Amino acid sequence: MKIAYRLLSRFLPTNIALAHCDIPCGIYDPHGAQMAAHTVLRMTNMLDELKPSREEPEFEERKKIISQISRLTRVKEKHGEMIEEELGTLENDYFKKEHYKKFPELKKLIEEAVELSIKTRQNIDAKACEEMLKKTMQIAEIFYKTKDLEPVRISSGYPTQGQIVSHK
Amino acid sequence: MSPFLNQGDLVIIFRTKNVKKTDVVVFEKDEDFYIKRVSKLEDSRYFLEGDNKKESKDSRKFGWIPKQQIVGKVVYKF
Repeated sequence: MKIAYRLLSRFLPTNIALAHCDIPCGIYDPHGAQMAAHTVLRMTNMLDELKPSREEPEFEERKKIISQISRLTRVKEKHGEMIEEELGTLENDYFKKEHYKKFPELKKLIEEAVELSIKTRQNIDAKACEEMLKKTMQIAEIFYKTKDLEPVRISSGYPTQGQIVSHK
Repeated sequence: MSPFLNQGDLVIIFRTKNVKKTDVVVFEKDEDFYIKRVSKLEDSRYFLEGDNKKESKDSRKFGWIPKQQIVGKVVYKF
């Protein structure tokens, strides 16, 4: 195979194509992670609130409950993954050495938020969800500060009734 | 593009802009060549994703790639 490669590369034009490309679009936003954290909290609350009408419900009711659990869990999983992905993008692509130096707590905040995104997927744990949301908001505040924008906590307007970080 | 491609792999491409879903294509952007797989396509633009979804920076991040930026599709992998 090496001979074939050597022969071909003599006659055919060759070039390098990158696979793990990172085209710097420059557009980053901590909103996605916060919205996903609210969604995971909402799904967790809804799962927690699911109750059968009686101790031994009919098969039809069981089916409905199982279906509802599946749907809520699916959305919870998806948004948990989204948090990991959104924070990963900020961590690897947006935040630079000088940001980590200026905000020494940032690295740990991201690590803890990602760990919580896994914990909240593994369990039905509203407290962990709230902690995760809190951390994504703290990360968002740092994000806006790195852009010299003043962060503000505003009402999310979501059924979770919590806040979300934006900027002035 | 792991597991389909790893660093240093050599491929032969056929220069064409007529590619279909699941084809692995080379496209040009900002004077560099990139290689990704077509996951969605419309009339004149392509949504390209890496096989290694967790690591890949692709159309999920930089959006659809116009047809004119497609260089060709992979026809052989060494």
